[in-house]
Amino acid sequence: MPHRVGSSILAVAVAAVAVVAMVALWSVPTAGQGAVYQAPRLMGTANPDLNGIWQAMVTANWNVEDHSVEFGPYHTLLGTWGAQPAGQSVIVGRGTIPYQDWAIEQRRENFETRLSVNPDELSTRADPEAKCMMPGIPRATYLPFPFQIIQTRSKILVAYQFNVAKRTIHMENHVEAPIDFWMGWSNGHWEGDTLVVEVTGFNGLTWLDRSGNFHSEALRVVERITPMSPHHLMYEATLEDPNVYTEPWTVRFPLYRRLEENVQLLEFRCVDMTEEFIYGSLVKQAQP
Amino acid sequence: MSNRYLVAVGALAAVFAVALLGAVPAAGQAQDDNNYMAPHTPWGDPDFQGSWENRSPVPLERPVEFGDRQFMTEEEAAERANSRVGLPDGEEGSIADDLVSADIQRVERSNNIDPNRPGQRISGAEYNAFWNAPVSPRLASRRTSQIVDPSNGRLPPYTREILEQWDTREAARAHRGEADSWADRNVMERCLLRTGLAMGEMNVPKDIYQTPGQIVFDLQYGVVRVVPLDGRPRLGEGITQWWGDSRGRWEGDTLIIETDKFNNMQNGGPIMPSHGGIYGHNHAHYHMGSGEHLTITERLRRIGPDTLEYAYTINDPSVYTSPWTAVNVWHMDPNEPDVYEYTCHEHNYGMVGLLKGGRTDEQIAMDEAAREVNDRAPQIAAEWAETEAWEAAQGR
Repeated sequence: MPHRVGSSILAVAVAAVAVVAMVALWSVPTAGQGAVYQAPRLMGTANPDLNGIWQAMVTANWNVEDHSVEFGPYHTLLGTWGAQPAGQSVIVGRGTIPYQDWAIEQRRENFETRLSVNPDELSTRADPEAKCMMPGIPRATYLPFPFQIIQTRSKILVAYQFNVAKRTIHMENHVEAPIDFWMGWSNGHWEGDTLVVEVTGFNGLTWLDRSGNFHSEALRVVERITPMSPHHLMYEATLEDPNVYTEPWTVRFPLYRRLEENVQLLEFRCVDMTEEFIYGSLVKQAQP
Repeated sequence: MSNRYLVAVGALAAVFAVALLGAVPAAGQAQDDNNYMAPHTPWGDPDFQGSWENRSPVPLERPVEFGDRQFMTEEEAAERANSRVGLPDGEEGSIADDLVSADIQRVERSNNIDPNRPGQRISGAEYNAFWNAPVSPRLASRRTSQIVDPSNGRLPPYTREILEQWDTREAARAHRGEADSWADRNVMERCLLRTGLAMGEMNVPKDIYQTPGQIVFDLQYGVVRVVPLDGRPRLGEGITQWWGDSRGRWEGDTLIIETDKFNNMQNGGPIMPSHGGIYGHNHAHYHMGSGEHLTITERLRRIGPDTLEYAYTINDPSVYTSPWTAVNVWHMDPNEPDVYEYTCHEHNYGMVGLLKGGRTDEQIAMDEAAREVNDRAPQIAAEWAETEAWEAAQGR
């Protein structure tokens, strides 16, 4: 009996030590979050090396706001293919975008016409993703496709698998956007180990997701990309657009390194997938 | 014995001299100095980074009058420069201001030259010169053609296999209009493929990036080519792509890239498109053949402080009866222009216009036919009236 009591006391003591040890272990990454991890440097520079193939794991491409499961648009043909998974908002501290009143109506109209292409409104109507058009920033980051960062001291090239889109982040000789672009014009600099990219010069034709969330050509995006571990980057983008939003808002989510052996960026060239979709109404009709 | 020793010492001295020349790129150094030593990256690869252009007055195929000669004589080159065949007058700015008049000048000049005089006519160059204009003296070359193999500087004959496919595609074109659908237009107009598969055809602005284990070509006409140099295996047989799959390696300071796994859609499909063509004909910049069996071997090396020699070998046994190799020289663009976004499909109102034009043509033909019917109607009515009057007179 005493022997038994002794062993249970011992067991409790061992368990307590284990718990303390675990707490201690757990507390290490929490306490030093961000500051503790020291990323390897890009050779010949004092900056973190971000080279690699990365991918987001969020469902923001369906909707950056909170969203429930939805039937796909052609579920009678495709069953669950094309169905929308539920997902939590990627917006920091809020579930929805702070739209101006008129913009809520525009967003609803965008949603209703998201697949209603019209060749006369080639680049202004329906979801650009469905039409295989450039995704813009930040959408390119959270499309369900990987992208590759090719980093040098003076320029960082980001190559996206979707529609073989790409953009150059200018790290030196910053100039204002010379013209408007689908993917904007990116100027970057380092703040400690965080890559800060200011993106302007948008043409206002890109959307934020498949739900019709949008911006105007006045959009200014400030991205902050910070290494968290050898295999994670924290991605943050603040969107400022006085034409459309009541205040700036921020999305935040991690990017994961693609770690499969010999993984490489493949092409997703989608133009030929959209010819019937876009131009189908203009082809020669069979003679009666 | 001592003689031989002297020769060896002399040779060694020459090597040193060459090494010195290479290490100090003198201002007047010839751009084709093969002893140029490329700078290297911190991890030891030859450094190709920068913005490059490959404008050139040299045509892909050699005019037959040059035979097997890869280079013109100085006299021929001077004569050609004087005649400015194919080259619009003026500087970059003024040409941009008035491309139309430059084009008219170009056509007039090329109509007024003697096609039989070597050095005067670079056949096929006139059209491309328009796109390449202006070609400044620093890009001048005495090369007679970019193709260096076969030795006549011309594309090898096509295979029977591909000519039969060509015939089949032409037959499929029969009874189709110019724009019944997008399938009647070529891959460039459809924004599927902008330029030849190798990087030497047309002047595509390009930026080269290097990081340890890879070299990356950012080509303005719509693609980023990431070329692994780390010896990884090639993609599996089950994957093909528009731009294939590339692997690179260094042989000394020369970069060798081998690319295969091209898809079989490079020619746009089973219907010969309107305004379609083949290499060396009809302004076509894409391959006549499938691409499925195509292998491209590219060789790049720095040959001067701002020049790079680019050679590519096209080997597609289903299309060409032998491999062929072309060479051109890339120049580092001192202005370091940005490789801008290239969005073709996003604004392809050209396709919308072509298809609408096709439908409009059909409607015009239908309207014209209806107008004829309308025009004849009163005449036919009059004939009926006359016949009926005659019948009435006959008491029928």
